[in-house]
Amino acid sequence: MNPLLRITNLSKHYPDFTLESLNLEVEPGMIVGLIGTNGAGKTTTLKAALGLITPDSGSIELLGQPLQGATPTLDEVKQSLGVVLDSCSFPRDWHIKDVGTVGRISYTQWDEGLWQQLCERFELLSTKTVADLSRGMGMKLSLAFALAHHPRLLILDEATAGLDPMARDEVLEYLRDYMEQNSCAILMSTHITTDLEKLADWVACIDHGRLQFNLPKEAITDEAGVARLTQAEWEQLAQNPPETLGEIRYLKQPHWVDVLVTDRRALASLLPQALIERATIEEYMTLSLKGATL
Amino acid sequence: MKTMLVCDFATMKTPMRGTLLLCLFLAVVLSLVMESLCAGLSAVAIMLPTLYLISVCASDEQQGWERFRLTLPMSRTQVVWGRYASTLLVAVATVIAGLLLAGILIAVVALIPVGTLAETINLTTTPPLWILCTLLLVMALFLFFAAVMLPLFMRYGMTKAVRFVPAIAVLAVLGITALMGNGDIEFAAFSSLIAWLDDPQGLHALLVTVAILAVALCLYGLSGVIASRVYQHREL
Repeated sequence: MNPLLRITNLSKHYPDFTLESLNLEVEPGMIVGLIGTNGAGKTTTLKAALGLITPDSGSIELLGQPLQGATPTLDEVKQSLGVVLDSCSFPRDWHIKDVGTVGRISYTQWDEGLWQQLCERFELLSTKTVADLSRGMGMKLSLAFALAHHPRLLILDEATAGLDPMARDEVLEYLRDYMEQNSCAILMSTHITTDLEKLADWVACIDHGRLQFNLPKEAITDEAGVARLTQAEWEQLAQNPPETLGEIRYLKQPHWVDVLVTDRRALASLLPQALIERATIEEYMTLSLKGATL
Repeated sequence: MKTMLVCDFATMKTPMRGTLLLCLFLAVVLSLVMESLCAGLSAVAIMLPTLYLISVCASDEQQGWERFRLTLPMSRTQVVWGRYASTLLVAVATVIAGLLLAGILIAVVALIPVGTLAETINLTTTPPLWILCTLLLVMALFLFFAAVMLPLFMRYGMTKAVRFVPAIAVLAVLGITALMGNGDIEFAAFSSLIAWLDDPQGLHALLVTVAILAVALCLYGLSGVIASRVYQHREL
């Protein structure tokens, strides 16, 4: 099956930042989380995927079509694309019904019934203006707009940032339901890694413009582990690290050492007394980016 | 392009309501105080589309709308031509509104029993053709302005583009000064031009107005082509 988004060797240079040879794929039916520190290159990647910026090199295929500047193909592709940026991007004076009108005339697949249903579910009154909405409501409006034309690929840039936990759960729940009912895919950039633990199938991490890891979520949250080792345990491990553990990353703390291994069971059999837990995405990212390699 | 037109008018419908009322008030007051319909109407006829243009371009930069708009299924070319079309429509609507307002004002002034207003604001002192020519010339002036500014707005965004305004103003003044020369020959030319324009039917004035408007529209179209090209490379 062809990926809905395929980014190959994408590079983009700015005076103070360079995105280098990035490769990323989003398969149908998959939710891919894009994580990384501020300024790591997540938004640059998404902008390139949306044709908002021109890459210096590399190629992008969006819904099977090569993205090469402004072409009529790109406009057709955008019919099947849902986008939520990091804030509600509609002009402040627009009423919710204006947003619906623009959706209706823009998208051939616009589903007025679904739009009304989403507005009702998210309590978006048609008479309210965008300026009246809180950040959370604004993001719900953006999401409703992005979903109401049955997109094949959803691109979300920090879409859940600023939402309270209840609203975030509601949005995530809706996205999960939507994914179950439609054969689409989601690429979501976020700092809230717990959202990805609930939702993602795949997690890609970018740091300083480079892809640090690109793994199935299970490899992080089921197979990998984080151990908090005493100094003695650490010395035992460090003196003779077995190859079966794969790459070991560590971060020395004042009284212990945090260790990330890709196979927590292998470490548990090696150090049965040690406290070893499943890694969270945040721990995996932190130790991958800040930790040293043994 | 239809999407862009709807987007622009949805963006501006609320802010323009207040502007429209203000312009209406100013048009009436200026016309009555100056006892000249053409003066009042022309002041407002330049103000309304200019405010529209500046406001709609400024709204692009709010909340990342300009960036998000490009994720909708419309091309950058459609965005540019949609903006040019919406601006032109507002300019045309201003001319029509100006004509209507002139008619209403003349009718209302005629009903006022006292004062000298009816002697200065009437169809004899201000024939409909004069009003039309005035409004069309003001529209042409606005189109010249928009033709210069829109490519800059599309290429750099409103915030950056306004930095070019002082430079453009200085260049315009220098250009006009150069055209004027020492003034002797040109004043003579102006005098004969005015005499030629002052024909009883006003056809000469209409001819010149239409010619100027045609030039303005051509420049406006050319400006659209340039804006469309530069907007293709804008990184958002």
